[in-house]
Amino acid sequence: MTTAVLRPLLRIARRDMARHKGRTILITTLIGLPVGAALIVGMLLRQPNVTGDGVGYWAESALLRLEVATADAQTLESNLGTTSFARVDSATALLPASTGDPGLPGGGGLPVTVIIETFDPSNPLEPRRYQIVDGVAPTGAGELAISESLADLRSLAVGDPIQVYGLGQQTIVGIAHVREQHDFTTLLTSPEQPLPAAAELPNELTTLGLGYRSSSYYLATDPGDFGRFANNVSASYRRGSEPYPSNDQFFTDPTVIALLAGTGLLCVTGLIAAAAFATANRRRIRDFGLLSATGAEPGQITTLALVEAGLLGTVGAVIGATVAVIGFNTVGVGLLTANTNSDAIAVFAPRDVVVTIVVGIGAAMLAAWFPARTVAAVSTQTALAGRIPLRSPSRWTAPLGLATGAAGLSILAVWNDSNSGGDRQSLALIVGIVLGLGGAALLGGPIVSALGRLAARLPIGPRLVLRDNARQRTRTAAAVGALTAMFVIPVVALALIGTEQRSNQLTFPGTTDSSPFEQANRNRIVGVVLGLDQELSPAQLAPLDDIAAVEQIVTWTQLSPRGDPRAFDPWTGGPSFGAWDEALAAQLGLDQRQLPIDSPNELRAVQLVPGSLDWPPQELIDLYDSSGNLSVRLQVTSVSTDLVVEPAMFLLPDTATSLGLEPAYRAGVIQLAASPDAATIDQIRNLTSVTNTGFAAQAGIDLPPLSYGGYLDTPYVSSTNFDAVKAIVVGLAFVSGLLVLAVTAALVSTESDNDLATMVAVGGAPGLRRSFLARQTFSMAAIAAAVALPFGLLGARALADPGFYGNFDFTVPWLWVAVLLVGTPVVASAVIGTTMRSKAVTPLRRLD
Amino acid sequence: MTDQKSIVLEMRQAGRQYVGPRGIVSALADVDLTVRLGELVAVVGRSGCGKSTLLNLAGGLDQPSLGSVRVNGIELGTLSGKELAATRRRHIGFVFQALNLLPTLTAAENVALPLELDGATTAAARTAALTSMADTETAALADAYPDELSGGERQRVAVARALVGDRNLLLADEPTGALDEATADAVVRVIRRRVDTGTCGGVLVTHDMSLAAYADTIVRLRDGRIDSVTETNFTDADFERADLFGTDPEGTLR
Amino acid sequence: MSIKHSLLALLAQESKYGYQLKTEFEAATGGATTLNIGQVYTTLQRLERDGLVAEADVDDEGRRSYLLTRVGRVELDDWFDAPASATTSQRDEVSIKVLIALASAAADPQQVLRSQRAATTGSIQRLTRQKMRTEDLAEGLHLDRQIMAGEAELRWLDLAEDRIDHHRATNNGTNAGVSQ
Repeated sequence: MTTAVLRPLLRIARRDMARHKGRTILITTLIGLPVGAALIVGMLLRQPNVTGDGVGYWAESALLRLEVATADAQTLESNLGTTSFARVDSATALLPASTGDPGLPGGGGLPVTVIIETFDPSNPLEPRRYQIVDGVAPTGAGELAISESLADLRSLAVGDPIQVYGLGQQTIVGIAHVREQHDFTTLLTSPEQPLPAAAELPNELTTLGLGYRSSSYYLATDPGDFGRFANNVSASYRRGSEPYPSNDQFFTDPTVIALLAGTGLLCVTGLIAAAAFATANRRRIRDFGLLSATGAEPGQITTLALVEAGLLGTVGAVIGATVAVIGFNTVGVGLLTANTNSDAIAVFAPRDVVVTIVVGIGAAMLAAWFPARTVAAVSTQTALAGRIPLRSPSRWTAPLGLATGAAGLSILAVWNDSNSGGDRQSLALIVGIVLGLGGAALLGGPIVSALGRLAARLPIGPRLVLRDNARQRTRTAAAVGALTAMFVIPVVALALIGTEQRSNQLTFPGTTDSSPFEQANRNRIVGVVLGLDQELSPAQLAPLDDIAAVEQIVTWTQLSPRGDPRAFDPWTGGPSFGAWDEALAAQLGLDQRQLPIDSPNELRAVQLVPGSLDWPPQELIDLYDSSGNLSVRLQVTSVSTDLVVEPAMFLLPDTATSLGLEPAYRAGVIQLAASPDAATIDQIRNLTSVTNTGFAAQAGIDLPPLSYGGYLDTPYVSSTNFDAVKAIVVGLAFVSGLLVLAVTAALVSTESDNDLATMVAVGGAPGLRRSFLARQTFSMAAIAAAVALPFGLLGARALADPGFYGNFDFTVPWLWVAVLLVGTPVVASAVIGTTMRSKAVTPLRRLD
Repeated sequence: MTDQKSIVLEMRQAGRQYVGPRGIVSALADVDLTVRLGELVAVVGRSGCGKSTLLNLAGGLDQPSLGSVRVNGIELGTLSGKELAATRRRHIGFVFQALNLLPTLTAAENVALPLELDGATTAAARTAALTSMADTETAALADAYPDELSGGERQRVAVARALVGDRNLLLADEPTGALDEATADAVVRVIRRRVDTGTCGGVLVTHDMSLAAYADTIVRLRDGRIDSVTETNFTDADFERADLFGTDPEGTLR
Repeated sequence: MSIKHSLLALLAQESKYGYQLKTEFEAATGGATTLNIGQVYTTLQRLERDGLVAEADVDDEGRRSYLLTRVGRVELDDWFDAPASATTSQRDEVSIKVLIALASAAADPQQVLRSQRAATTGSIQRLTRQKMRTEDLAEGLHLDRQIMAGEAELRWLDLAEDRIDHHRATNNGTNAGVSQ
C-alpha cells in the first residue's frame, strides 16, 4: 500500500474527527490526561526541594544533592550533622555500583563511602548490631571487619587487604552480618583503632556523604573535579537525568516513574477509548462496507481506523503535554513554592515529553486496533446490511487473560525480591503491572459472553441487559477492562496500606490502636525497666521488689559510650542503645524467635507496663540503697506491650556522673526530669529527633504524635492516620469509577436507542431506558469488581516486600474493600438510573 | 446483437452453495449471463430468489462455488481478497438502494474515491470524477455533501462513482427502492443513457418491472435459477419504420 | 367477452350439457361472472356450425350434450398458446384463460402464465423503448399508462404462479378443490 492511498484515508479520518466532535473530545481527553499527568509527575520528581513524607525519600537525596552542588565539603558536614565516612582506595580495583550520569568523572575504581563503627563483641555493652559470620572480629589496629554488602559489592573476602582513607592499609579479618533492615556498607574496627576525626581529612580528597537515611553508595572525586562534579550534579538535575548513581531498591529516574504513572493511567483510559472506538465502528459499519464495495482492501480499512486513532492520539497527547508543561511551569511552580518551604523550579525534560507522547499515541492506536480487526473481518455484504455478526469469543481469550495476568503477577513478585536495583527493576515493575492489568482486562470479554449465554433463565430485564452486553462484546469488554484496572489499583493500595498499618501496630505498639495486651494490662504493673550501664545489685533492686504491684523486674544494659558520633543509629540520627538480655528473656519465658518482629534485631528489650496504682506514665521512682541513700531515680515508661521497644531512662545529673556516664547527651533530658523549662525543652528538641511526650505533657507542651517516636519517646504513636488514607483511596477510586461508568453509559445509550425505542413501542414501560442503563452499569461494574478482587489481592501480595515492613503480616482491610467493590456498582447504577433523562420514544429512522 | 461488442461480464454455469443446518443450500445455480458494452440487463424475481447473490458474485463480493464469473476477462473465482478489491476499484461499480455515499466526503470526492484508493493523485481523480458526474447530470453537485442532496441526486452521484474512470460494469441492487416513481424513472434513465454510450454494461436488480423494462434483457430468477429470459429484439431501425407507418414495431396498429 | 374458447376448454375432458357448462364456467371464474344460458346455447350452436364441437348425446328431456372435435381441439390449443397482445380488449382474457386452464385441466396453467409473462414483459420493454424516443408529453404519458398496466398484469401473473404452486403442493399436485 503506497502512501498515495493514505491521502483519501487521511481525508476521511480528518472529516470524521471534525464531524463527530463528541467522540473526538472524549478520546483526546482520554489520551491527553494520562500524558499530562505523567509529565507532571516527572516534573514534580525533578524538583530539587520537594519535601514531605510522600516523596521524602527521594526528596531528601535531592535536597542533599543540590546542596552538594552549591556547598563545599566542610559546610556540608556541619549542616548535616555527623556522618561517618571512609574511603576505600581505588587500588583495590573496585567498580562503582552504578554509573549514572555520564558527566560524572571516572569509570572503574571509583571510591566508595562507607560507615565505620567500632565493634567490640567482648564488651557486654556492645550493641550487638553486628554478627561476625566469617572470620573474626577485629582485635587490633590494622584489622577490620566489613559488612556483607560491602564484601559482595567489591568481592572482598577474609584476608584481603583494603585501603581505608584515614586508616591506611588494613586487613579484612572478618565479615559481619548487619542485623538491621538496611544493610549498610560498614567497616568495623576494634576499639583500639583510632578513627580519624572529620577535620583531619585532607582537602585533596573530598568525600560527599549525602544523608544518613539512604543506603546509597556515594561517589567521591578528586578535588580538582569537585567543582565540575558539583556543577554536573546540579546541571544534570535540571536536565532531568539521573545525576547520581544509586543502588536503591527504588527507581530514581524520573522519566521511568513518569512513564510508569502514564502507562498505568493509559491502561485504564485506553480501554475506555477502545470501548468508544468499538461503539463508533458499530455505527459506521455501513460506511466500512461501502468502502469495501468501492474497492478498499481490508488492510486499507484497518489502516483507516489506525490513522484515525493516531490522529486523535496525537492531538490528545500533544495538547495534554502542552497544557501540563505550560501549566506546571507557570501556575504549578507558583503553587508549590507558596505551599512548601522550598523554591519550586520550572522544569522541561524533552525526553519525558517525547516518551509520554509516543506512548500516548501508541496507546490510542492499540485501543483502536482490536475494534478495527473486528470490523475488517466482517464480510462486505454483512457490513452493507449494517450488521456486525456476533462471533463467539476465541477460545483462547480466557486462558490468555489468565496466563498474562499470572505472568504479570510473577514478574511483580520477582521484582520484589530482586535487589538489582535501578532502571531494570523499574522496567520490570512497569511490565509486570501492564501484564497484570492486561490479563485482568482480557478476562472481561469471555465473562460477558458466558453471562450472555446464561441469561436465558433470568427475567426479561436482566436478560436483555446481559444479552446486549454479549452482543456488543468488544465495547463491553473494553469498558469492563477499564473498570477492572481501576478497581485493581485501589484494592492493591488498600491491601498494602492495611499491611503497613498492621506492621506499624506490631512494630510500634504504642499506637493509638491499642493492642489487646496493652488494654488488658493498662495500669497493671508488670515490672520496671531499668536502664543502666552497669548491673544493679539485688540489694539495690530490693526496694523495687518491695512494691507490691511490681511483678517482675527487668534489667537491661546500656550501650557504648555516648557522644561518639560514629556510633549512631541511622534510624534516628541519635545514639543507639538497647540490648537483649538473654537471661531476662529466659526468665520471662520469652523466645526471641517468637517475637512478632521480622528482623532479628537485638536492639530490643522487654518493656513492661506500669501498675495498677495510679501511676501516671513517666513516673519517677527513687531507689535507695540499703544505706538509705538515693541511688537511682528512675523513670518508668508506659509502653504496654509484650514486644520490645527502646526504653527510656532518665537519671539525675549527679547520679549519671557518679555512674560514670557521660552526661553530655542526656544532660538536657536529665534536667528536664528535674525541672523542665522552655529553653531546656528546646535544647532537647534540637538534640533529639523526638521529645518525650510525658515530659512534654508535664511541661504543658503540646507535641504532635511522631511516627517513629525515637527511642526516647513512649508511647509510640503512629503519625499516619491510616483510616484517612484508606478513605481517600476508596473515595478517589469511587469517583473515578463513577466517571468511567458515566462515560460508558453515555456510549451505551447512543448505541441501544433503537432497540430501546422498539421495546417501548412494543409496550415496555416508559422508564425502560433508565432501568436498562442502570442495570447495564451495574452488570459491568459488578463483573469488573469480581475480577479485580483476586487480581488486586494477588498483586498486592506480590508487591509487598516482607523486608520492607517492620513486622510483616499481610492484612487486607476487608470492610474498605467491600465498600469499594460493592458500593461502586450499587451507587453508580442508582446514580445513572436517576440522572439519565428518559427520552421520548424516537421513531425508527428511515433508511435514507 | 452481434458478438463484436466486447463482453464485460460473463457468468457461466455460476452457482453459490452454502452449508446449512440441513445440508447444502443452493442460493444460485446454473446461471448463464452475459453483459456486453452498451447492454443493460435487468434481473428480477421475488425476494429470496437469488438476485442479490447473483450481483454479489458478479461484483466479486462473493465467490462462486460452481462455474465461472469473468469481468473484462478476469476470472473472479480465483482471486484473493486484495485482488478482488483491486478489481472492484478498476472495473466494477456498485450502486445500492441506500447509503451509497460516505457522509464525510463531498459528492466529487465520493466519485473520485475508487481512483484515489487505487493510488491516483487527488487532481487526476477529481478530473475523472467531474467527467463522470457530467455524464450523469450531477456535475453541479460536485462540492455538496451527501446530506445536502436529495435521494435521486445521491443515487445519480452513486452511478457516476460506479462508472468513474475506466470502470465499465455497473451493478445496481435495487437502486430506486427508496425513491418515488418519477425520481426512480429518472435515475434508471440516467443509467440507460450511460449504458447507451457504449462505454459500459450494466446489471440492474429490481423488483419494479416498469424499471426493468428499460433493460435490453430481462432475466427472471426463481429459487436460485433462471426462470426466463426476455430480450427485446427490435433495433432502432424497427422503431423508425414503425414511426413511419404508425404501428407498433411488431406491426400492430397503435 | 367471448366465452367461446372457455366452453371449448370445459369440453376438453368430456362431453357436457349446456347447463353443465354454464355452472362450471361460473364456478371456474369464482362466481365473478354469470352466464346467460341462452348465451351458452347460442355459442354452442355457432361452435357446432364451425365444426369445433359436435353433438354427443341427447338425454331423456331432449337436452343435448356436446363434445370437442379435433378441429375444436386445435382451436383450443391455439387459444391457450397465444398470449394476449397489447390490445386492451384481449387483456381481460388473461385471467379467464388461467382460471379455465386451472379448472378444466385443458392446459397447464403455469405454462399459460409463463407465456403470457414473456409476452407482456417483451411488450413493456418495447413500450419503454418508444417512451425513450418521444419528447411528446401526451404520448409519454400514454405509454407510461400502458407500461404500468403491463406491470400490474405481471404482478398478478407472479402472484398466480405462487398461489397455484402452493395449492398444488398442499393438494399433492392435483387441481382438486381449485374452484371451491
